Amino acid sequence: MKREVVIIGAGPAGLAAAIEATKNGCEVLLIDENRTAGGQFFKQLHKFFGSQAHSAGIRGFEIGKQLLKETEEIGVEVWLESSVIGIFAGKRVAVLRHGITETIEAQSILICTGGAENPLRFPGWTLPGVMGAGAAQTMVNVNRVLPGKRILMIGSGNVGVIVAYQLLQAGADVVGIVEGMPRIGAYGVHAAKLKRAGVPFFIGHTIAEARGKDHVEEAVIAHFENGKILKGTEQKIDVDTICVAVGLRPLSELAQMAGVKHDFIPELGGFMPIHNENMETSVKDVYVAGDTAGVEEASTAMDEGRLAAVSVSYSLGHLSSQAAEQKKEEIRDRLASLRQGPFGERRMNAKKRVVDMGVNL
Amino acid sequence: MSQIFDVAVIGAGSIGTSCAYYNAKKGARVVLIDAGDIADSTSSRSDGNILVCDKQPGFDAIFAKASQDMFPKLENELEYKIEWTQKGSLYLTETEEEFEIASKFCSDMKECGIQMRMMDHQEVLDDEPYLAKDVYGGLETISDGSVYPIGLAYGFALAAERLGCVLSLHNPVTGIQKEEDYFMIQCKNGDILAKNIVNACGVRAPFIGKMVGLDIPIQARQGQILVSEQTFRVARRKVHEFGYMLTKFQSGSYERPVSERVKRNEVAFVFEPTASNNFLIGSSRSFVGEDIRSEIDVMQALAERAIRFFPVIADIKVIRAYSGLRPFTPDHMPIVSDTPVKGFYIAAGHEGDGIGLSPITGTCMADMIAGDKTFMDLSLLSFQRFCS
Amino acid sequence: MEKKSGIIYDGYPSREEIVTANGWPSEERFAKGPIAIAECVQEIPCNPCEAACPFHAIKIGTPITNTPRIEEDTCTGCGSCIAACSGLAIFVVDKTYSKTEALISFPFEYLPLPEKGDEVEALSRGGEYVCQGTVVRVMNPKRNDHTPVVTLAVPKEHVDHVRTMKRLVLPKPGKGFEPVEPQGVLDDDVIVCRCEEITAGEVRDAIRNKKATTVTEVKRRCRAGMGLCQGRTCGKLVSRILSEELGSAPDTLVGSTDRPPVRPTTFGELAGIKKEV
Repeated sequence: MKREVVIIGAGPAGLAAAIEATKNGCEVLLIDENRTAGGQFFKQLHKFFGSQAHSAGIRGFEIGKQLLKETEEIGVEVWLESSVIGIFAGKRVAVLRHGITETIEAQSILICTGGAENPLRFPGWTLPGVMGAGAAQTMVNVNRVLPGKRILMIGSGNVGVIVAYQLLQAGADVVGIVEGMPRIGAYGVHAAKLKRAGVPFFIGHTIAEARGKDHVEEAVIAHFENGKILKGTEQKIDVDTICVAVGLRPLSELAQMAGVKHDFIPELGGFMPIHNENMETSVKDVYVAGDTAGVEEASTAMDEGRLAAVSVSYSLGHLSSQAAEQKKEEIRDRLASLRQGPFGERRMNAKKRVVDMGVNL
Repeated sequence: MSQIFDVAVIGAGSIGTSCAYYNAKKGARVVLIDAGDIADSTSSRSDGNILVCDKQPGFDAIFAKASQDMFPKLENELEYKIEWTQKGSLYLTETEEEFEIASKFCSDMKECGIQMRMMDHQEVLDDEPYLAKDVYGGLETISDGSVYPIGLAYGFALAAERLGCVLSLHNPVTGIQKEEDYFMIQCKNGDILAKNIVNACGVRAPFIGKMVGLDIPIQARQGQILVSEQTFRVARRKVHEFGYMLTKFQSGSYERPVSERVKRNEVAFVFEPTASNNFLIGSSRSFVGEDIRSEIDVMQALAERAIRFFPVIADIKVIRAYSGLRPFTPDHMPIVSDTPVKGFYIAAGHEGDGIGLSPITGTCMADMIAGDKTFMDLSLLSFQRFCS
Repeated sequence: MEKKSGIIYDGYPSREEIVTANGWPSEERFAKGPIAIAECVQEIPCNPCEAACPFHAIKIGTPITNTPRIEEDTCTGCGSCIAACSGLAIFVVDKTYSKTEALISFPFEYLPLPEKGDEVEALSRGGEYVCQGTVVRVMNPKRNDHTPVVTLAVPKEHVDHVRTMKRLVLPKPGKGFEPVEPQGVLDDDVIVCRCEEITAGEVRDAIRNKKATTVTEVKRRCRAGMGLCQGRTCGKLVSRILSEELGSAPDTLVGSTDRPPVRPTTFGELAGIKKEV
């Protein structure tokens, strides 16, 4: 089986890319292992930030619905419940689908498999009841099940704080947000929602233990300085759930398997594929976008997906160089605006470093 | 002037670590050099079979048996858990014709002192209840066993270190200069001096050989393996198809009734249970240079062939595929030998047998360097045989 | 240690931060009627409020990270911006409601919603009790997209402090925080690789005593990362221990090699044999 473009992962980046590439005339196959496309969109009940061009003010899942509708309208070929198990020599993508492994030969491959939550090791972290914040978010927002009644959140970044808010909305008690750094990581407006609801922040603290027999019954937190727990500052609290939100890392196993050069970029989540200004990697015709190309957010992911799609469309001869350049310019402007300000700057600079490396590949 | 080692072993795979250990045991001052980690290449990408059943009757089988006989004591000797088990092995024959070839092989092997016996259809099914019901018969080898190959190399290396061997890892060799009565080995981290060198670099042995002007006829023969999840005991011991012998030695006129996919990837079924309750599925053979990427077509052929012999495997998960490079010589025999360059020895080219042959290879190499007589005549393993 | 205050320490903005970033209406303006107050003090890339104002009273401009400023002469206090703010950080204050009471309108995304006339507890930015308030209005039109806006009447002197109300249904309270002795679990006994049940101590042993220097080398020596998940969970934990033990920067530590299949796949699925149902 052959396809011009195989896009792996139908989250924000993959959906936006599939739409853009199809509109430009590419023959696209969009693959996702989940039952529905949309990736993280359907967990995002909050209104997005950004400008109108980024669908700001609209709740994440509504943006997801809109993109899904568009993929249907323009007839993108989508394979769901299909897992890509590997990328092999000659740009062959092996897909496990309907109980059978099929191999598709692609002219271009776009990998947007997203990110994965970082684990945190502490005594008791393997007890049932300790889970990633993202997992808790899926439970509460997608499956409509509360992961617990009394919850301690570890990590005050946007993920921790947004998930904590949604858990509160769903009726759970969030007993506190623990942050190892001496300051809150999330956007202040997100933190302020929790403060108004009376949720305490424990900055300069960490989780010291999870206790319980077969399930989390208590959490112990303590002051944390210079990477160490201050003895004698331990406090316990009765909880049944501990959510861990200590960052995400790019999921790039497939890119590694395809031979893509990686580097360590801490601001974007650690080891990640290096790419150029067109989202192309060190392996010709293999592209990355979204969290796979460095952990950011859904709005940047969508635009990176579009940028990759435009580049692919041009390289396959579906767009003139002029039309492609014009589109790229618009997308890059939007991306630049999303990466402004004290929160975006670090990512902006890190992305510049990535692209500088990518250009010299 | 820095010290001059008695022996520098280049290559810290199962063969190199064994050479280091047995030389150190004999009292030599040894340095073990590797470009990377212990067991960084073929030894970490192999199965752990310690077999005599897949050797050719004659010298090959006797040499392998001598090595195999060393394993039961090795774990204690090395003070390292190498996970040695000795449950024998089972060859399966698919057809009557294959059974006949195996029977002849069995009697030839018995003459070399290898304990083997033919098993009929019912015996084989009783022995391994999950086998496909149409398997024709089998051939059991009593003494075969297995180890954790990476652990074996660590065991040798760490035991060697306790005997004073210097481990110089992550230190690629860039050149070798022959001086009057020693070698100057140029490495990334500085020069190392040694009176003798053992080239135990497996598939890279030709690269090191070139540094002293030797042309070593070793080629990389790639093989791929699938690893299962931890699961129930599908088979109690190593099971493989007799066709393995036919693909290994590319001999005979017998054609196995297999699919195109199995045939083009030279896949022969090999099942090896591990101490951690996973199992490994092999085997494939191809000459693709030093490419160790997995190939989906081979993976699929391996899975297909495994299911043919053990249908229950179909529902068990594969968690990993990997491939390694066998150091292949034109006559399928290793090189365990001195060379025209005085003091420069080769212990390489064991194809798929490096793990099993490591103790005897290390022992022979130590004897050779010390000027002692080896336990049997090793002229069949000489480098000279390729120099005509 | 000096107590630091402000949004990044307290989780809500100080009056100074608001005044500097967004401005604060003059008393003259308050005397004229309702007015919106933005409490969005950080430079984040977001501007839906600007377009949401029918009177163009909210200014962000370029760059998009500018903090919003509300022109007090143009703002009518209509409240269209409250639900349009993705950060729920705009409020409307009406100090002309009555002689003694003022109104505060705020976004409130919790069920059940209060009803007009309810007596509720009015809370501060920090979630603390300020005073009692009376619900005057609950607006939840479609265009708010599930962000209801509640208006409370509170004593005038408290209106600058009130920013929300206590949720009507609260989860059952627990025992709360109390000092405790640590159990003294040794970090060496904490599991790192869940699939193979390998502890931090075993990983350290591989590094200290068996010369492992990379994630792959640790894996080969002690099986951390060899299980079903293939190191997808523990890889990062192992590399953290490596960098602690070896004192090397994390960027020098290469992860273990990723190998197919990326998802566990049965032999049957791989072989392409359809299961007979």
